[in-house]
Amino acid sequence: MSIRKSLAQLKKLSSINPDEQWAHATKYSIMSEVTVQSRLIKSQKRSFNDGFNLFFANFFGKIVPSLTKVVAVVLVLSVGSGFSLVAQASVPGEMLWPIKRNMEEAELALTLSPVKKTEIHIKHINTRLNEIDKILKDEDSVSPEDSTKKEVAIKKAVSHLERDVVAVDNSLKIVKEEKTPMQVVALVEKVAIVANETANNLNQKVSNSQNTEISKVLDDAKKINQEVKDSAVNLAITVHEEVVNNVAKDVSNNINSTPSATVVSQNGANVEELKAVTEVVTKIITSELQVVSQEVANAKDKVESVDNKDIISLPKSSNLKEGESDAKAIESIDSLKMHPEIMEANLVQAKDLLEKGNLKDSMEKITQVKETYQQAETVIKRIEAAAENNSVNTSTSTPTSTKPIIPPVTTSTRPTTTSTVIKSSDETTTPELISEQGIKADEGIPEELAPKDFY
Amino acid sequence: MYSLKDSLQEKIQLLKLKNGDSEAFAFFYDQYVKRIYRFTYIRVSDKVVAQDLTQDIFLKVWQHLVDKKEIQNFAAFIFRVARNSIIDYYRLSSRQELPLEYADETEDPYSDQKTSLIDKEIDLQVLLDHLKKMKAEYQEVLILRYVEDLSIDDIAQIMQKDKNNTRVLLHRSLNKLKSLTNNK
Repeated sequence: MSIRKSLAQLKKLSSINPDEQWAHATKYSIMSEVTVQSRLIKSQKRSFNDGFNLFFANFFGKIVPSLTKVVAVVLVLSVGSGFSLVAQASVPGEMLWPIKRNMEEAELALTLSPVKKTEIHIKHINTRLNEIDKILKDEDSVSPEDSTKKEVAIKKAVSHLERDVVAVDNSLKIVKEEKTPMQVVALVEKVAIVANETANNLNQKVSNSQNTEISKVLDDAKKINQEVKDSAVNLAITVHEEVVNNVAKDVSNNINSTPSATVVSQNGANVEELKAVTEVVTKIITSELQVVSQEVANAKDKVESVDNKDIISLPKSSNLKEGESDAKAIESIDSLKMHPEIMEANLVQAKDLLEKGNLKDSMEKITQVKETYQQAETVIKRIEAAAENNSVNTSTSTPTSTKPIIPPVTTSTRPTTTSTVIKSSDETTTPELISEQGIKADEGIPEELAPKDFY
Repeated sequence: MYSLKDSLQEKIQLLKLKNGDSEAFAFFYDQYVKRIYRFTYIRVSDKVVAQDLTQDIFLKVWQHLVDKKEIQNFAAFIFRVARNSIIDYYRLSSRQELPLEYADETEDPYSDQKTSLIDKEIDLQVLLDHLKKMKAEYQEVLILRYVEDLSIDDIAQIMQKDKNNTRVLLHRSLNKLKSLTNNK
């Protein structure tokens, strides 16, 4: 082949092309990444003009009344006290409820301080809970035709509860930017208390409710409430870390140069602030520990119940998940047995870290316990669903219900003290394990349900 | 070869790209994806590897822009990134250039096509075999010059050599190709 022919052939290599489909898919995935990053970069860049406009928007927003505020004042003043009292007593689904909601918005619009706004949102959360209480009060006595109306009302109340909960989170972030650390953590403490009460309230409602649709809606509200509480607690820890860093910086500056009287007094104030902030954040984390150790105790009880009752139904039951083998199901049970141990070990570590003053690491341990708890809850729910399916399919005499077989463990309305709930490592017990024979003799399991060649 | 219009359009898009315009990046993707794929495919002889490398190369280019580094000549820059990525790939996989006895196992780039002119395919396969026997630098300069139609200036930037060295390299690679084709 001559060199000219070789070069001509080389040119033909330019006909090598990628698959059109691959090129298109790759473009899509690259451009998704590029677009997200591009937007992030643009949002972080703030030109001088943007900063100028933002400052004046903030300034005028506070002193010049907007149309919303004018309408809010008119609404509050023009509504007669009797009428407003009736509206205050309404619940979602009733005619006057939108007016009640508008009055709440008006109250917020007239409030300038972000701390006050957060407190108002907290007040609204309590109002939503009372509304849900009222709607669910007569759930059993309601006729089937009205149950749909109740479901709609509950969904509406819960959706507004979620909105108020998220508004608390947003409001807290503004407080962090504008107020002192002590004000921030004090507010977080209030938010955490309300979030715990909300969680207990919703837990009780879920366990008492016979309607699975309503239980699901309340479960979703629980999740959002938990997320906002976690966000608030993490905010408090971030603020604490910032104060710690400030004090550390003061100490290192003092080493390098002799401080003036003003600097010394400022450093003193920073140290005092650190002490106060640490005290409040420690209280918040202690309260979290109490809540989480209650959850761990509940999870342990549930795991024990699963071992003793529902595992025998698994070989006959439908698979836990579509296409999941019984071997996989049994594997989930085995790992479930380990969860209470793991949670208790992490709790002990969290407590030790808190006592040593290591607040951030203590909270991380608590987060790990919560994650393990969630995993355990997921497996338990699947087992409950499988056990319920099995009991509906195989037994005609046993009464059916919309709720799972495992009896719910009631939670207390107030967290118990640390010393009674968190066990020391010496007292840690492992969950009851199934015996080698498979079933305990005193369980009284009918012979036909006793497993043969279980594993 | 790029027309003046294409060249001007590319310059305008490059200015937009430097300002973080993601649409401009899409323009460059469309312009260069086939070329980069072809360059990597000829060098690595593996479709899947060529696809992965191509994707990585574009992401590296974007990262370079995010890190606010300058790009004067987009074509030179992206091919340089491609070249370095191929070198890294070989280093990581510790793979040698395929010896002749494995030549049959290389994927025929025309295997997806329905029509087959057998003589043409054989010639092309022979050519690819010859390329494989050459040094990596010789392969690169031949592909960049005769397949991708890049100028000596651009090739010099890509290979981080001066223009004279690049011309010498091109001359030597053509001589090597001539000796391989005459000795077949």
